[in-house]
Amino acid sequence: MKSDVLKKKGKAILLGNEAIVRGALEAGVMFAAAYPGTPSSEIGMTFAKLAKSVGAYFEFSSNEKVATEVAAGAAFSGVKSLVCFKHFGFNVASDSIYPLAYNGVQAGMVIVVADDPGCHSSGQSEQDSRYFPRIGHMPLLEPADPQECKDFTKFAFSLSEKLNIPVIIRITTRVAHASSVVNLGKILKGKRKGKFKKGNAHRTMPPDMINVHAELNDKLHKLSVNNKINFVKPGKGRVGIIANSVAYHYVCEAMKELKLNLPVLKLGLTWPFPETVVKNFIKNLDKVLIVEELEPVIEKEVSAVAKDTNPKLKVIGKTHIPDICELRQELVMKALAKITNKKYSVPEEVKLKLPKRLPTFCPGCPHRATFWSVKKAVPKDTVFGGDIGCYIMGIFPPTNMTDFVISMGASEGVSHGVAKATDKKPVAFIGDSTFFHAGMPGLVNTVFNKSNMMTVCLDNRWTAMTGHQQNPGTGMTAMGDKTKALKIEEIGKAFELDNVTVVNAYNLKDTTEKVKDVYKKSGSSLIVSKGECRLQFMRRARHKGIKVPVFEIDPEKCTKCGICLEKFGCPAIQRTKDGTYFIDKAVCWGCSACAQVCPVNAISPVKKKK
Amino acid sequence: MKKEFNIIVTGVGGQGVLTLAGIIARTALDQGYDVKASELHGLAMRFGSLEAHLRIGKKLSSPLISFGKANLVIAHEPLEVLRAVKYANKKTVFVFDTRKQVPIISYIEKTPYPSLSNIKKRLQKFSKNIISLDASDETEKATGSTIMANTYMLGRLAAEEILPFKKQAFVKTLRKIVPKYAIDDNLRVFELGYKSKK
Repeated sequence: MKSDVLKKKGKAILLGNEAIVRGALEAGVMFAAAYPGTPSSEIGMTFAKLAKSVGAYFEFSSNEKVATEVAAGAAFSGVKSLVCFKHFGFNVASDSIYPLAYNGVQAGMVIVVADDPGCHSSGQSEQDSRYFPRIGHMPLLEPADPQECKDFTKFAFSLSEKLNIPVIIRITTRVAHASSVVNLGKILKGKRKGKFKKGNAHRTMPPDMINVHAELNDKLHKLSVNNKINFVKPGKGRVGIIANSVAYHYVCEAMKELKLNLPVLKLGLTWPFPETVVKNFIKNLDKVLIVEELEPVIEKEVSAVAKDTNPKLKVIGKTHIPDICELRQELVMKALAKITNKKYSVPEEVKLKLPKRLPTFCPGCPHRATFWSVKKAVPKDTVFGGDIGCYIMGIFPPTNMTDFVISMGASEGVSHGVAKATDKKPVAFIGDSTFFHAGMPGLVNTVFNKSNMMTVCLDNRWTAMTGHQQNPGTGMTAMGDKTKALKIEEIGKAFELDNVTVVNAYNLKDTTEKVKDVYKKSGSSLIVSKGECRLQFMRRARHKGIKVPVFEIDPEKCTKCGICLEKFGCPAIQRTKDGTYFIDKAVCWGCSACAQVCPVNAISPVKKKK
Repeated sequence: MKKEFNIIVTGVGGQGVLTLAGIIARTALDQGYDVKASELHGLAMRFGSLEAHLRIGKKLSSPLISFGKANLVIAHEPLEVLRAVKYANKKTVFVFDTRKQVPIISYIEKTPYPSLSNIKKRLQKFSKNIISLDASDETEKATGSTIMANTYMLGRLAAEEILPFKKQAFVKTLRKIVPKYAIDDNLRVFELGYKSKK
């Protein structure tokens, strides 16, 4: 679907993430970098799509830390820059983010972090990134909807240039992936090239660093913003509400439903904490409800401010608003009804007993085939390390293999630890993009510290889970230019692993045999299992008009053993009520793996009609 | 139109749930409405359940629809329509494609997939306004693939006049946002869906 990000003027429906790009363009940003991660990915993808047409530079860097450094390099050179990633990406990038305020920037720099309360697309931990800006000495802006995404991004650049430090924007899933009508401003043609300014290196070195620290504290202490960023929605009574981000909209919705008209302080800048604004808001209140997702960050600050300003004020927060998962307006209604003594039965969620529908490998996915082949090749009690990517689904039935998932690139390090702490030989699964992102140090360590383990790299050539972005193995940059397609097996050889073997994911028997051989050998080994992401393969085929042969099950040969469906688990295979197995031709993507797992050769390509 | 119109669009990741929601949203904007929508990407899209919220009205706040407040539930898959009943009330209209995509887990864990008649029976407890249509089957017959089944459903929605927009408004949006190479097929399938109302 075409996006309206570049629409000249008027109104457009934009996704929160697209609105951030629009805001950056209206601020004259011509330089951005990212590593994809849901719910932030569309920021990078939108930049990638339009960069050439507006004369901007965009790259998907090899990881978030590198992306941050790239954007910093631009900002040190007087070129405005934006960098974005999901919350776990901030963890990776943090080492390079924290010194940036010390060094200072010569042009506006904005860091966008997208949190995922409720973990819709985040297998690791539920995280609130609002603590980071405190450590990094940077202001934190929290837009609530696409309009604010655009406006706050534009504002963030002016704030960054005023303070000479980067500004952080934090969004959440329901902001990043909300779409709504946005009033557009004018796109500015900004600077794409600048001049590096020398003379700042001492600012991140002792002893100057300490003075710079004081300077930063002072800057943030004195910061105040206009009343469009932090504003009061007027109301009546001595009960007030303070809310941030999308929670503000839940508050408005809940008040409409409960027919309440309480004053609401909506905070857009939450660090440095706007003490004066809060003081003025709470001084005449008896009760204040703090509505924020996840941790009680604002609540603690309000409690501290209230101690001096209004010691009798009852600050109500996490006792009434959950500190886990995401909020909904119903949860806010419940809390509001309770503290205002309103008799109101909040609609409960109706839950029917239904079969679950967990995410799964796509039809024809090379990962399903590789998991299958490896499972056949190694002992039953093998510990399987997991990593971040589509293959995280190796944890779900029927694959049921992955024993742990920690963070990007962690499969190898943890597996190495398991190998050293047990007498077992673990197998670590890691995808290509994850390998380039943070998997190389782990692999080097297996050589350096004489590991006895096997790494299986699931090399599908794309950063698939987040929407098929390019990575160092793709052979193409984010802007569509040809570049080297790095071969993981060559990297393995350069790292001097004891064994490096390449297999074709779609040849199951051969893969099983090769894995078996390699697993027998001691030392650190790497299997690179190649098979392009089937979604991308099919998209290309469709576009070029190439028909991919689909498969069918011969009911005469089929013994109804169920291996293809209940054990292998391809979504194209189905079973009728009477137990007949068949392939849904609309879903089959012709990979042939099911034909290879069938013990009686009952599956074959559909014969062409004569 | 009433003050607001709330639509839940559900289906299985990959079925075009977000595209359908996007087409309705843009049509609403062209007609001068405020629009708020919420969707999910990433892990949720790999053949998992997908649920998009779309609100059309004058001045809206939350991007999410409250439980019991949906005017319309559009489901690309029969099991997924049942998952959306929490948003339904007595007046809600359910529109769903009858083509099943049985989740693998239901075979493995032996949790049976309900029959279509059972699904309708369970829906009736919430609202009697149920429209089931063979969008995927008919689209497959016409084009050899189910990819445009969502366009077929849009055609039917236009014919049912549930949404406050005229048929031509949807056609205009399709022309605006569907890539050139696919527009003719999409308009043909849209028309098929439109005519499926007897």
